[in-house]
Amino acid sequence: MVFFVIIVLVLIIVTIIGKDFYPFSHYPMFSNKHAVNNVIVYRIALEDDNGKIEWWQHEAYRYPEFIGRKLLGNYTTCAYSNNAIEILAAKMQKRKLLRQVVRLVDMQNIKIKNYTAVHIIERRINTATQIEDKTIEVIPFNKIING
Amino acid sequence: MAGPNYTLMFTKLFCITLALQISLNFKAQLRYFQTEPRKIYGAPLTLLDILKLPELNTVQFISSGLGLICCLLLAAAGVVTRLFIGIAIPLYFLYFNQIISLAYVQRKTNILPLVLLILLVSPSVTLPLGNMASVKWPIILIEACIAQLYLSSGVQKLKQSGLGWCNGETLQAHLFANYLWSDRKTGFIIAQKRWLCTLLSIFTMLFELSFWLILFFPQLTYIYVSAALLFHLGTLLTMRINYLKYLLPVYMVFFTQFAFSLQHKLWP
Repeated sequence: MVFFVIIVLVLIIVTIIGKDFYPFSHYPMFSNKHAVNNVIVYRIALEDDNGKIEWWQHEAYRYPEFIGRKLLGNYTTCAYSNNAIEILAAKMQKRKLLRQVVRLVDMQNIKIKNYTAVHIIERRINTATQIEDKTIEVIPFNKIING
Repeated sequence: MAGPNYTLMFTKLFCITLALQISLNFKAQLRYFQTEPRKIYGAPLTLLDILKLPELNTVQFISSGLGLICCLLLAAAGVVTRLFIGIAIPLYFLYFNQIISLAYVQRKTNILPLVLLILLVSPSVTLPLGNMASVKWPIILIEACIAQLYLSSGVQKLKQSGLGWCNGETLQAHLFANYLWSDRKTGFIIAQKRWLCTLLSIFTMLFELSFWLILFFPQLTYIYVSAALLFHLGTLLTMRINYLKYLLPVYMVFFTQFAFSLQHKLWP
């Protein structure tokens, strides 16, 4: 009975306060208010020798998404921050993230030498619910690898 | 031999289904482990916010996974059930904590150690299947854990967005975002119909906030279980959110009676 009450109490507490106490969890996914106008993602694409561009996809699809979200944060910091240290930190983090992209691409048995550059592409939905893609930056592979 | 030891029947169904799921996904999970997700996401979670779990190498990861599968199968077979459930708990944390950032693991497996813990302390797991004196509280507690999952999700929506979450725009935006990431058409088609997003948002909110009713009105169980399975299938097809993989073993709690009937038919 004591065990039963303890478990139920912890479940109620994490539900009310909205904090994880692993493995006791609250489940906040997709709870935040979101507007169609604000839907914007940063996706990574790879450019090959022939200039053909294809999305970087991974079996663990959260990798490209997580890195894309971080890159969006980095670009926002660089665009709007007045703090030089913050901007420098964002740039360093971007470099670190891109090196991780190269590492993961390399592990996917993709012939990395066939690719020349990484494209960072901003994707959003316009008022006519159509997709708008805009290339934010093209970074040569050798620049990422050799720093 | 139909019997009322629902907890033991659930233990068997849960352990077999979970062992099967881990086995089926073992190769993919090993591949993910080898990509060193810690380098991207940082250190994984600490147990109860206190205990930092160790980082494993490949051999240790494989051993913990295989150990977990073996423990679950032995517990299901009735070989010193309590002991093997007890060993499965630390193995769960060792194994899953390494791949906790994997999309279909994340919070989606957090309920598993709770279920194992409940089974560990349950007096019924050592009684025979046909024992009439077995207790029912472990089953109720497991159902409460499932209900908490949905209730918490509904409460968070209310806390963060209020009833405005149901107006359809939030779901529409999440579906569009998912499409921009994945290029999957299913979510995009739904997202283009605002009225459908509103309807699905209302259904989601009502479903999540009322699932706990099954604890007090068991006659509603099959309605809610069907709704839940549809809900998870929907989120899988439109948003790639796969709760079914590791929640399915826990969902076996709703099928113990059916398993007894089946057993009675097969071995009268």
